[in-house]
Parts: sequence; structure tokens; C-alpha cells
Amino acid sequence: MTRKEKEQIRTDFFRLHSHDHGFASVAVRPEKGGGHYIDVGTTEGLELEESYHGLPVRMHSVSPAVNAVQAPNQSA
Amino acid sequence: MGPGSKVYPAGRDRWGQGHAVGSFGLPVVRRGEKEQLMLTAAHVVGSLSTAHDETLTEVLLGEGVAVLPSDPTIGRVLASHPEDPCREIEVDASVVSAEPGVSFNRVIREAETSRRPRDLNDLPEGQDLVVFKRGMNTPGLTEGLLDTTPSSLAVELPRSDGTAVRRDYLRGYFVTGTEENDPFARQGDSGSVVVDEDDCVLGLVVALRISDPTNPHPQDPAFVVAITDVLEALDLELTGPDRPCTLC
Repeated sequence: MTRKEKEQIRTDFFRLHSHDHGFASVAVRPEKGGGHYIDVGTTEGLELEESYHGLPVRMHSVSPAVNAVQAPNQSA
Repeated sequence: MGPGSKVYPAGRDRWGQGHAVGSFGLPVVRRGEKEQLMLTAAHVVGSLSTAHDETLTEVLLGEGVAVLPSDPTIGRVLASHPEDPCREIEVDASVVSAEPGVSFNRVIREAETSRRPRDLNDLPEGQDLVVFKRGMNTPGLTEGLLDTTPSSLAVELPRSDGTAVRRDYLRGYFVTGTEENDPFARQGDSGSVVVDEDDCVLGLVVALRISDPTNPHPQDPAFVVAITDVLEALDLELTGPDRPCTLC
């Protein structure tokens, strides 16, 4: 699978699910035995399809993401 | 001032609160020009910050632990990518002009950064790359491992009025700290740049995954966008010695 194909699958899958509650991140990763899978980070219970474009979808729990700015009245 | 200096927008947000603070990344120039400009994240001072609601474009330098009315103006926002607030984000970067008398260094570790960027989007995927960043938080310089597999990330931002803003970053890279006590980045490190062991610039810190905001865990990863995407989007070039990246 080319880099461009992986990029397309990742962004399509991200756009498809980015409105789902608990959906946090996605990457297309290589399988140890060959091939690729879709690695989905979720912040809470989320049910997704088992495969997408022939790639298995696997989920793991992650912490929520925020922009890395600091409130102005906090000490640095 | 230099990489990791604390920067923030002048004025107050629509709720009367001061704007959040972030980090100065690195000096840059417009392609083919010589005037030194400052690079940081758009959600720190530009289109994605709460200052975008206001007419002020001034950027202040935070000189102490707390922000003060006496903090000096160091420049004005010239351009951001995206130009206006939006949900789907490709880059998240702003370029800021420098007031007369403001000068910069570009030392993140010990040597000046190279003017040749290293393209994260060209690296073999599935590898861990040793990287560094200097941000506004103690200890400033931190080390981490960058996962070269690109990811898409959703960020949710609670606002003062109880609503939340969602940002969808289409492509970036996670960096996990390698130090025992400190995560790679903390809140306030947005806008700081990431370099490799050759002091070639790779990316710009934009987000964090935080397990407990009051007690960051050393393994909380940061999320960075590729510097080559930032430079292309804003038509910028790095400055500094024309030194090749031997790790490429």
C-alpha cells in the first residue's frame, strides 16, 4: 500500500467518524505479519465497523486531547 | 528572545479574560525575503486563538511567571493558516512581524538550527525518531521519541461560556517524552518547534493528550504538525546555517 493510499484511507475514515462521541484519533499502521490495520484512539465507549476498505479496525483507549496553551493566570 | 519564550495576544477575550499563553517557535523569513519574522501556533496568537475575535493583532512577550500589564509588545500577527477559524485544520501556524529592536536567536539545544527543514512526511513510517523541543515550561528543553506514522487527531476545547470548540487535525505526529519526570510538552508549549539530533527542524507543537490536567504524566504525548507543511502553507523559509541533515 502506498503512502498516498494510506493517507487517503486515514483522512476518509477520520472525516467519517470525527463527529462520533469518543472518537479521538486514527492512524494506518503496519501489521507485524504484513499488511496494515486502522488504529483508532477512543476516549470512551465507541462502536465502529470491524473493517474499512479491507483493513481491520482496532481501537484502544486514549486520554482526551487539548491544544497546548496555558491559562494566563497560571504559574509557568 | 528565542525559542521557548512565552508569547500571547494583547487584550482580552469576549468574556473579559486574558488570552492563553504559548511559546515562540523560531525566526523565519518570507520566501526570498530577509525580514526576520516569528513563527508560532495559530491557536496561540492568530486565527485559532481567542484574540481572533478582537481587532487587536499585537503579540506580547511574557517576561515573568504571570502575565503583566508591563509586558512588552514584540510584534503583530501578519498571517495565519487557516486564515479564519474552522474545524478541519491542516497546519495551525501564525507568522508575526517583529517590532524595532526585537531580535531573535535560534538555539534550541546547543547549536543554531539549520535552515534546511527535515520533511516528516518523507520519513519511513513506523519508526521512533529522537527529537527535542524548547518551550516556555520548565525545564524548557525536553527529549522525546517521535512516531513517524502520521495520525489524525480530534481536539476538544472547553470555552469560558460552557461551550466547546472542536478542531480536527488532518495530519500530524505523536511525540512521547523519554524523561522520567517530565512529559515532552505541557500546556503552554504550543508553538514550540521540534528538532532532531542534527538540529534540523521537523515540526511545531500544537496539542497534547492529557490524562490529568492538574498532574501531567511523563508519558502524555504531544502532537506536532510537520514544519514542511507549515512553511509551504505560509510561504516561509527557515533561517540559520545552511547545514545538511546527516540523519536524512
